[in-house]
Amino acid sequence: MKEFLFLLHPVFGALGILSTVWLFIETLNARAANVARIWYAAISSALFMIATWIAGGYWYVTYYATDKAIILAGPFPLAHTFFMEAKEHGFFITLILAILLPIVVRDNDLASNAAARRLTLAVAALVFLSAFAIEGAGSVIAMGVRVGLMSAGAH
Amino acid sequence: MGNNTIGYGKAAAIAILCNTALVWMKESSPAVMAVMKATPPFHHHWAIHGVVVLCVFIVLGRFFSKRASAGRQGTWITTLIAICTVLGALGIVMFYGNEALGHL
Repeated sequence: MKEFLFLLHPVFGALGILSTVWLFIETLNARAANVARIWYAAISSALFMIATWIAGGYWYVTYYATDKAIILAGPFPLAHTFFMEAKEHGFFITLILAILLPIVVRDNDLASNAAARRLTLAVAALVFLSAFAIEGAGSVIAMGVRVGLMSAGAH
Repeated sequence: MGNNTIGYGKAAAIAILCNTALVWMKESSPAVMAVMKATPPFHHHWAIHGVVVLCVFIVLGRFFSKRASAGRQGTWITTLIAICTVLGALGIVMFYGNEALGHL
């Protein structure tokens, strides 16, 4: 169960990134015919990021203390002191921007409103760039746990 | 631009900066951190932090949306959100970078 929970939030995060890239491409080609797809992409992005928050938050609050102790005792404490701290707080920026996307899409006709299109493209780009950085930080944190365990095993 | 776009766009920019300000406050003040850890129902600073930031976004978004005038403020909201996102992210990265390097 713990392993399943651990996998859940990066999977939701990756699906959120894919949805946001999908939204970006649909918005580049915004016209009357793809208005529904733009909405589905925007709402998917927001819902997957909210799911990432809930799943990741539950795992972090319930299980992360063990990993944190391993990282801090190991040879790469920056995995927690910098990467985890920046990741867990930077995520709220991504979450807010992802929730903004369906509000903008619902409130404007992207096919005819160039300013709203530019706003959607900019926010979508900020979401997937920040989410990629967060996924990368997650990999560094996992590496911090691994080298901590290897170091403990070597002793 | 619609009223909700302007209202929630402004609220997003403010919530992003509030997020960074709250990081600085709780990490610099043990009293603030203690209050956040003691706040129900989660009794965890990060969980409360997220709820506070989301509430700022939703409450200010509703407030600003009712006062926004549709059709105006087209392009600057994009610039505002982009600038606040970059500043907010840099504020977090530089704060924890400084903290982490200080403890090495």
